[in-house]
Amino acid sequence: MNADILPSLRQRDLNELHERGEIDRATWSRAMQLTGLRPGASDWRLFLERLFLIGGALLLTSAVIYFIAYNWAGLSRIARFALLQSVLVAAVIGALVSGIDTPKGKAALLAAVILIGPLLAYFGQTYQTGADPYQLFVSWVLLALPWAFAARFAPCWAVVLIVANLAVGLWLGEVFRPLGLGFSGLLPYFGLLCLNAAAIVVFEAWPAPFGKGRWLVRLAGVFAIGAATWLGIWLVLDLGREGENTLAFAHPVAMAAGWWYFRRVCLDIFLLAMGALSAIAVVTALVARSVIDLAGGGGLMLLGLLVIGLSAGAAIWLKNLAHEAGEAQ
Amino acid sequence: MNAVDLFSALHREGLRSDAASPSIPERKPVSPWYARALLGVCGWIGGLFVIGAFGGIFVGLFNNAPGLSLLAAILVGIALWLYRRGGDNEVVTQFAFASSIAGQVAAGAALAHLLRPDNHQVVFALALAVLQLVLIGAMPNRLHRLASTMFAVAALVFAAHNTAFARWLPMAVSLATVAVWLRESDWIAKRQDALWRPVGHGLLLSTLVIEVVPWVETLTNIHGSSRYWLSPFVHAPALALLVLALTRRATILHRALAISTVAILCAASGLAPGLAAAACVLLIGFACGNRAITGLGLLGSLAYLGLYYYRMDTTLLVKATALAASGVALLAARSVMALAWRREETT
Repeated sequence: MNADILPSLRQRDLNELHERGEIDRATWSRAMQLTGLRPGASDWRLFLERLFLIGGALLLTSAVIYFIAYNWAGLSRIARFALLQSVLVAAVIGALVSGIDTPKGKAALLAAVILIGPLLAYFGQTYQTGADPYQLFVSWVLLALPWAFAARFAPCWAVVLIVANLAVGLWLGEVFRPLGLGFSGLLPYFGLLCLNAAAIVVFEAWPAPFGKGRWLVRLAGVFAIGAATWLGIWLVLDLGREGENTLAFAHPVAMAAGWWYFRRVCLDIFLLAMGALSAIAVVTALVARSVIDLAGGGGLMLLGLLVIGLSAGAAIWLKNLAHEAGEAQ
Repeated sequence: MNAVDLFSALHREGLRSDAASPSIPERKPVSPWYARALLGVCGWIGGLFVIGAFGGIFVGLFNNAPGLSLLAAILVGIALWLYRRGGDNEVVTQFAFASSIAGQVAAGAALAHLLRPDNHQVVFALALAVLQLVLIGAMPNRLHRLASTMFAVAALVFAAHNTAFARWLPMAVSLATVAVWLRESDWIAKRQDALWRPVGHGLLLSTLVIEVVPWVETLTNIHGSSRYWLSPFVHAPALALLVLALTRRATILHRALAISTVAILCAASGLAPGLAAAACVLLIGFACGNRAITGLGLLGSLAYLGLYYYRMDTTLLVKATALAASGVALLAARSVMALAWRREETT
């Protein structure tokens, strides 16, 4: 048989050969390294260098935040500002000196992106500006964006995405009043769905500034699916005010769009699994509304069987998709 | 790399007497980890609905210990039968999992009637742990074994709560985790992969949950107690054992560096032991080439950093000191390792 057309070996294949006694322990161990299923010396080196660098930067950044939060009585207001600002400036200078494209530079910019938040929070606390909490997060996003673009580092963008979610959630939940109406319970979730859907579009269409790997898309996808699920449950349980439930129709629309994109255009079984879980939650809520009052526990039994059946069906579908894509280990 | 290339390479390295590849087993579809997680969450919820339904059908069931015991035996028996008959069929195994969860809730309620946990908390929790250990052995299903391992550790946490053993439990769990994963090759060779891999995954998750989830962490809390000096040593044995095993083929210098890093990290993060627990999970995940476990370790350390802020047993100044010391320890270790690697390359 032509060796070029043979499939790549998976961990299960080598485990089974070891189980059958075809290869001994030392051979199994070396085979795992040769096939790239276990790390070799150079992989360990790269991994430890990155882990220690990014871990060290994150721990030191957290230590500064904890220290400021402690409000140590011996520090004056000026000293606290000086401490926060000097650490921030040191991180940026460190990034420039090391080179923004080096791992050290990226780790330093990640620390800088995180430190903007505590600095703004301390500013607001000290001068009582009267600003709404969402404004802090909006300012944080705006100030962090240039550094995130410069770093081209996915963890920096993850911080920006999380802070942007907080900003949009707080703005729509506490401040925004469309047409002079009162606060809307559904609007923050609708806003979060739109924000994260837009983020997915941007990450997928222009991947270059956002670093390597798909986990940023998956993070935005999990946020979007979480918001959409809440909208869907709200819709089927009819919890919203009159007219408000229109927004909740975003759930089926988002699920359909997500299925089309992540199944047909760019296969992502992880996000399809999250979507399936969301669909199961909403369908169960829909059926629960009708059957929960059935006497003698019949409603609960029906719901139990429904959840079991739907999840088993979803698992079979996902397993087949993974087999097609050769993704499962 | 395909089989032909691999066995040629192994032959060249002297690990095989000939370059011929043995027959590769036929590939069956396998569920990815997130599909198994979906099954686990839904099966658990489905099981709770089912036991709730039995509570509705048989009025007064939850006040009747013999009735609960009988129901538990029937439901767990059905689960066992389905697992043994159903093979890999997802529909059958999901029914079996939900049936078992419902049976376990019924068994727990029956034990609560018999043992009165208010007065006999340790006996009650130990009985639940024994039940889970029996289920790990009996149920031939990976998802069930993973869940039972986590339930067994949870039961042990409750059993140890308010006893001297609580302080030693996190250490015992992380040591057990490392011990299981270091013997991976042995249990594969003994055809025990289906038993030990899910147990290993359950122990990894439990190691993180014990240190990271705040209310669980308080049950085994040693940090605010008079035994706070134990804190830096909680995960040090597990990390040291793991690092010694991973570096067994490295030079003496590298081994010494690795062990020094573990010692410094454990000492520096003594008041934040979740960092060492997450490091344990992270290293096992990377060593096993399992991206999901590596990601779990990273997520666990980030979650710990966020939740550590709200812990009430130490001041923010002490926490800031522990984090700063750990950060400096990591950066210093990186610099020393880079130096050693550079020196090795030049020689």
